[in-house]
Amino acid sequence: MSKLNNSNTNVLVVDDSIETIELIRRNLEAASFRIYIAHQVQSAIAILSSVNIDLVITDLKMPDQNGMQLVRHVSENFKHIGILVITGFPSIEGAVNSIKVGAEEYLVKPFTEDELFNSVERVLAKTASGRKSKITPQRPMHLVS
Amino acid sequence: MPTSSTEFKLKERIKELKCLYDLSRIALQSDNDLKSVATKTIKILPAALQHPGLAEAKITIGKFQFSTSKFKSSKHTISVPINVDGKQKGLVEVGYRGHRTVKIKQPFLKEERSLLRAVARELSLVIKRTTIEEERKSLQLQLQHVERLALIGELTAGIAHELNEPLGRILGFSQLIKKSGMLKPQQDEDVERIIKASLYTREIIKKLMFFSRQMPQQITTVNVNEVISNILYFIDARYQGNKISITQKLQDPLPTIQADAVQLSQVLVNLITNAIHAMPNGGELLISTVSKQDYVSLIVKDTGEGMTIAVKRKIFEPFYTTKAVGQGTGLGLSVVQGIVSSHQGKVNVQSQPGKGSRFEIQLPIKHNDKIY
Repeated sequence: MSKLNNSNTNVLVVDDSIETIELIRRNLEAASFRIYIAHQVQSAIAILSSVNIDLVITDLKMPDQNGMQLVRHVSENFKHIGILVITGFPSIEGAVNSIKVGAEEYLVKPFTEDELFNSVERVLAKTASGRKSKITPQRPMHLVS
Repeated sequence: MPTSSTEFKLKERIKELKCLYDLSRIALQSDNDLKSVATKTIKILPAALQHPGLAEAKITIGKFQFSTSKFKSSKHTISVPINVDGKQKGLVEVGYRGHRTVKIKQPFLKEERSLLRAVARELSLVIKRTTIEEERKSLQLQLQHVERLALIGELTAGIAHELNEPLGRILGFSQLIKKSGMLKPQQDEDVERIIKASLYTREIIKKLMFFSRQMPQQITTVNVNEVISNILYFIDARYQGNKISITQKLQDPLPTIQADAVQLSQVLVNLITNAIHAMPNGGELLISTVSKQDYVSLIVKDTGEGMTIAVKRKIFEPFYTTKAVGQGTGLGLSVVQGIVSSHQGKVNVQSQPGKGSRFEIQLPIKHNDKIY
């Protein structure tokens, strides 16, 4: 798929870390996704009501409200929107819970660009609005020793 | 003196009572272990018998034997078993050497037999006490170990969390630099090194998280053979050309178990990686599965360097490594043990320097599982 296909995909990235947002934004923009940014749950909810978002990428730990509340809000009110939760290792359990609440996938920090694209692709494939996005080729599983 | 006379009986009784008194004193001395109680008892026992000059004694406890020097030449002997909780743990024997002037008509009096039974009872109590003491010491050691691991776990979890954030930036922005496509070949190579180092660090942190049990288990029905096939698919490619032949000997069908497949993969990768590192000049790696009534065994056997007893004793200690600095974290096998014990399993290790090592992971089969 060409980059052009992704240009119709609106992604909302929600994280209080400026660096994490920048990483996700620059990677996804390079694949022609249209990116919207929120540093808090409240501003994310505001964007959701005004823009036709296809995918929400959200952290779980944020200062104002828990990312889980955003996951619940999206899954209850915007059933067509895919949700990708980003989490640090210690909150994997929270991420598993977030899937129960409505997220399609979770990605553990720190992640590589391949892992980010693979997760985005899986979420988009799962959701009703799932358009195939341009994804860099998958590498074999990285084995640890 | 006739054996029926009151004086004779009294003398014998005094000897027996003195023996019992001495024995209880020996047994009560807290610094006396089983061995010293037995050795000291051997010394006092002959004096309690009718013919102390000819008397010999022997105490057997398990595989240990304690006896007076000439016990073997005893002609008349009697013995009483030492029983602990209904099971025979040893034997108390006394006997007389033959003598040309002393004729032993009635070798052992009724009282002497009952004295011997009293000695056996006393020794049985000492064995029981020693066993309890040993168990207490072993439990205390285990507790100390667990406490130490918990402390390390807590510390590592905190450190790992703090490291993940900056590491995410190092990794992510390095990949963005590389992707820019504006680098000179040398710069490109350097950035690739940073990325590789970040990924390596990420794996160490992941191991620390495993180690500190921060990764929640996701228990599903697992066929260990499938875990092996999935992992070997990658391992084969990784070690092709290393003069290492990998053989599988998998029991089929194998009962399924309730386990976290990702964690079992981690166990297998760690064991295989260690085995391969132990065979720098090549060798044979055998991966097998077998099931017994209650458990499934996963066995990883190599023909590598093997381990000395001293090394074997330390392999499960966190951060212990025989590899060069930067080559290993020393966490691989402590992660293996952590994962296996969280599955209520066991790790058995056999190793011989120069011949190789064999790691057997036993994982319990839940009874409601069926062979498919």
